[in-house]
Amino acid sequence: MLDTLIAGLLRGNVYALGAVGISLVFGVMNVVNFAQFSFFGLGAMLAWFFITTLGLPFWIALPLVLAICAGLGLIINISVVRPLAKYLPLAAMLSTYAVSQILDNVSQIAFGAQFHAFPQVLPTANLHIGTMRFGTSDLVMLGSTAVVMVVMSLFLKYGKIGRAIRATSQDQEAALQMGIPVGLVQHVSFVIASALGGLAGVFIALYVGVANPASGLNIGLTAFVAATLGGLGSLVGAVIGGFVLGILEAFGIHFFGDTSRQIIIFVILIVVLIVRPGGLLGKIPLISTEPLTGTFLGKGRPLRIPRWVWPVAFVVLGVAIPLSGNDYVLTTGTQVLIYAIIAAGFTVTAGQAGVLALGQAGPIAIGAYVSAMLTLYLHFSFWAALPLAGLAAAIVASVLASPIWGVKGHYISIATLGLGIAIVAIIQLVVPQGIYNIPVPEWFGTALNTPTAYYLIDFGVLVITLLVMWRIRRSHLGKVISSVGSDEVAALASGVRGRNYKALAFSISAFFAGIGGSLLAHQYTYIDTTIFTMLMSLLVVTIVIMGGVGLPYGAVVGAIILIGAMEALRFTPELRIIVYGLVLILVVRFRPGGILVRNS
Amino acid sequence: MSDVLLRVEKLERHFDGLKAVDGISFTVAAGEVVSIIGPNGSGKTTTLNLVTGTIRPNGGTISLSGERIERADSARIAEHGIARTFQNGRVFATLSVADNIEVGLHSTLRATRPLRGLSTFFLLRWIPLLAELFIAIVGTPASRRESRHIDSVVATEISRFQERLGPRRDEPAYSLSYANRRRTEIARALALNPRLLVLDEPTAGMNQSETAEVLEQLLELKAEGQAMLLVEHKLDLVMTVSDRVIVMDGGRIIAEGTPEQVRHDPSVIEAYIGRRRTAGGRGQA
Amino acid sequence: MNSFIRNVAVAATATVAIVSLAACASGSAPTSSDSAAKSTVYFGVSAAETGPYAQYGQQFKEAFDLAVEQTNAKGGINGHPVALKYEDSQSDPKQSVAVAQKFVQDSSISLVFGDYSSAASIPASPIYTAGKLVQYGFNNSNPDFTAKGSEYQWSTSVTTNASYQWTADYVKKQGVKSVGVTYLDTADWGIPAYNAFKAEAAKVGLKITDAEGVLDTSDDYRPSLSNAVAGKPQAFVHIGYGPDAAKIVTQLRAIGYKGTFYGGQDEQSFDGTADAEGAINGAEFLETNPAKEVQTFVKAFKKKYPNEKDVTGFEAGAYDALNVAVAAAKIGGTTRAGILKGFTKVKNVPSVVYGSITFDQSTRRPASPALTPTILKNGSWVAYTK
Repeated sequence: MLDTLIAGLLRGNVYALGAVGISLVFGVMNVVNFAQFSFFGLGAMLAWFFITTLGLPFWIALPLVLAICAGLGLIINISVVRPLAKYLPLAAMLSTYAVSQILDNVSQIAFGAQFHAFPQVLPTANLHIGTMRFGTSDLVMLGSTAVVMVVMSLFLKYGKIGRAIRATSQDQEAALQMGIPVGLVQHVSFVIASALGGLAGVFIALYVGVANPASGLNIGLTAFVAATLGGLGSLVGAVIGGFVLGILEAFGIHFFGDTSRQIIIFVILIVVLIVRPGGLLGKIPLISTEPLTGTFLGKGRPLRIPRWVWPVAFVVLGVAIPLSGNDYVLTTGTQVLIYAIIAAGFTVTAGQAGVLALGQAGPIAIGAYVSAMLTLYLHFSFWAALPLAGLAAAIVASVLASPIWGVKGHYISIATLGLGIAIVAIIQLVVPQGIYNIPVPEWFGTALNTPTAYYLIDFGVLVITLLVMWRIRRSHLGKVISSVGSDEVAALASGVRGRNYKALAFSISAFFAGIGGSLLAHQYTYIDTTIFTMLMSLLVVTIVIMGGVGLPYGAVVGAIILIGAMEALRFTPELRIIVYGLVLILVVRFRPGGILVRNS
Repeated sequence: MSDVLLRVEKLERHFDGLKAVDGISFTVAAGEVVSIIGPNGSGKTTTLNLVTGTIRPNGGTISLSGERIERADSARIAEHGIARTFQNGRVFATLSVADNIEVGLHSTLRATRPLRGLSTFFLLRWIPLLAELFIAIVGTPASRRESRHIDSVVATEISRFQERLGPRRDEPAYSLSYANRRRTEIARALALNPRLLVLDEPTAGMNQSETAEVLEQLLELKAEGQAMLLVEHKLDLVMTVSDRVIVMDGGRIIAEGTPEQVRHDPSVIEAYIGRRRTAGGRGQA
Repeated sequence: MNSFIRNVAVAATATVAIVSLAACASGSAPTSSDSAAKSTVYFGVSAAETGPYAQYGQQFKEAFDLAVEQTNAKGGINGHPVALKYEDSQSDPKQSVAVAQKFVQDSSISLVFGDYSSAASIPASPIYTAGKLVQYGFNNSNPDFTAKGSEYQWSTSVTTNASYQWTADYVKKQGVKSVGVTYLDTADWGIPAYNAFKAEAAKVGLKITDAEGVLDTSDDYRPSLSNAVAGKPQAFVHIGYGPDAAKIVTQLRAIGYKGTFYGGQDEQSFDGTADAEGAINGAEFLETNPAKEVQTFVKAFKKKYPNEKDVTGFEAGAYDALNVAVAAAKIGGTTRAGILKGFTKVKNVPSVVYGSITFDQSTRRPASPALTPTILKNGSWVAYTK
């Protein structure tokens, strides 16, 4: 028991250090910063490089790492995040994701993709309590967390900029009116957070023993959950959240095993958010006073699409490509179409109900597994399994999501992110093995397993999806769902029960995600849980934001660009993801509402 | 006095020990226009929020036509027939003017929302939700009739502000001027066909001519017999439109009566008018 | 300014669109006829060049390039030079199926290596089968890759089942009576491997005091490890890869467990981990193996890539794979059908992993593969005899 407690404390310490930076940036900019995750990996790799390759002593390497991370943070904030945060936190969040992709890949080109043994610059196992060993490194890390906390709180309390940071995180508008240089404050916060990210990365690598450029992602995600748990924007909350999560996680793993780690983390998160919707120390205002904030939906008007575009697009996508495209184009096309189906269905949740759910991989996985098992074990035909997969995804995802609809703002995104990861983790527990030989679609005994057949099936489903989404958007229901996304308080005052409609929107999206999952399963003919990752969820989100978050047809454009671009960039394999990230940033920078949305 | 529409008794609400509303009682009769005035922080907006269910009281009762509603949430209260606007004009930014008004009709719809009575019950609420979804995608003859009805109500409400909102019918609300947002919000509230219309500073941030326009609208509504509960800083407007005025300070009612009585009440002059801010001040509950 | 921004945005969008079209066009272009004498024989490689599995893609590429160089220096395949076409799949099924399709319709490709993970390889298999193109998953240790695949799926990797059956037998032979186990909780690899180990352990009477499924993405295994060693097992077995084994062995020592660690992998993060010293593992390939082919290969590899300190099973597997493919093509011919025929006939191909490779035609895997017990000493693996 004591062992587990100590393990939890050591672990919590790592999370706490990571969470502080995330919370700081969120507080002053209202942006979820995915680039922070990259700083963990980058900090570790830089330290490794300085110490192992250049032979610098640790105490010189560490300040260098911090300086580089801080400098990069400043550049990122000036060039990417801040210009967007003013306009639309959603776009800023997306661009931080692109930045993190670029950072990870630059770091990979520079340092190689391999895991490296991290030099033991400080002893990691020279002390012990009972049989549980720990090292000077753990104490130094604990000390660092404490020092960072004390310095930060003194700085925030007495420093001129520190006070400005606090004022800004309480009320950005008011701070601006009071003459506080909000821009400077945000730069400073971002720089501090990036340096802290690098510092945390070094300690994490020391603690874990090995590092590679991408190793920050998972620990970053958990640190992010810790920050949320404590209340985004609260530094003390971040530290408390880190330790609470570390200890509960250690006990959870002790009793349920490492395989349920992700389930444990997100169950804790969801329970805390239900009991305290603003996190442990966060405050949610009783009534949000700013009608246009608190929603992800930006301003911007969809481009007017001339009528002739629709039949032309139909003919090009539905007739010209299947007739003229070769198998490679068609296979890429099937992926584009399936993601377009999933993303078009997702627009009602993200664009209309204003819930930026980050866990669509969950319902996609449900649909894929249900469809695979129905056809494989119960010998359903694909045509029956397809809608059933959608239904199952909608039902299961809705049941699991039902407690979270009272959660507000960014927290609901994080809760859904957790939900997606937890769903996949549960599937992994129930069906640990991959599923093989999933039957391909048939039509009166003819196997429809050519690229053309898959393409046409997917195209047909996409057309139906778009028609349904179009009907919903135009209906009273669609307007009601949009009203919830725009301003939930005002919607309630008009007699609209926001929670119900958010739940309905989510289940509609889950239905189409399940359909998409089923299509994927029958085309791959093999599925396992490694297919349904957080990156898949993020891709769905990126697609809808790219096309225009509330526009179902925008999802088609988004899918063509994002999946097509990955294929199109094959001519430059090393730079593929970097170019992809840059394209993403450029698009978001100049069309923050989406490709098909005019700026305003 | 005619039939009591709204009766508030011993209503209380505190925030972190601060008594924002401290045991107030008042009534609004059918067809009556009652205004609440008072200095900033006197509890006016909190009172409105309590009456409309946006926040819950810590004590006291609220009843509408004899039915207790203090435990109901704001959606239920809207269904009971209380519609409201907000201090800074909360419109649905991404929806057009017409669609904003259509959402206001939500609680009056029947054919578009079959079995809506179940919508507050655990699990059972999915029945009306799925029915709504079915109607949205497929439609029924009755729902199509109702959507024509919706269109006509929306047209009527827009025509109330014809010169201002008519040309902007299909513009998204975020693109509207501030005054037009307030108009849209009032139109949305009226679409609910409310028994009681609750307005929170309808002229805040408006210039003189816009204020005069609002006053005209309010007098028109009053002539139609619309009961209203109003929080407002501009005393000229309050005195012109109100049947009765309630004066609050420090969470309590310090005076109540006709505009004429209140205007001459010494305690009011001392508490409110003596340190009144100029028009357009930002009131905070 | 605004119009400038709009122009840039339009330009960016247009660029993407044009590039997409160009890619489609180039995808359809190479349908050349190349039955002409001494034309180049192309093999495709579907592997991760970027993304989380890029590490392995890089290792494969280095070994492939070396093997191609050597083959061509020796006159290629009956005079035809060999060349590789790489496509980055990120080991992501979404991309590996597109890559498969691209290779299938590129008629110059007569065989494809890859992909790295089962989750990327198996979804691509039906496409290769339909295109009558041999998919040589030289690295796919998941037995289902070949068992559930068609006659077009071949592999020279030892299956996880075989290698962990071997491990259970070997641990028992070392006189160990009880083991604590951690295994990667992955559907395509760790779980079947653990099941094979468990079955074999039960058969030979090796007691498993506790087995914990773990995730390679975790960083802190202490809670799991304290459970795994709570029953005081004599030795410890980890079923997984190098980086996770490095973390596990470090933390296992940190919680005070001193028994022998069976597991790990010849890979630089594990090899460089101080606490990994003394770990024992069954290896397919051993850099220090004195056999002549091995030493020639290692020397050539280090000459070509002076920055690489170690040569591991990943490089060796890829090196062998290319040689097997070349041998098959020499027998059956350089067409797709010819290579498939070659695979059914090829025998005793010299191998740096197994000494020589002959396929068991029923499993399309090497017949009776042998593993060598190895121990990690001073950061490198050496043969272990006891």
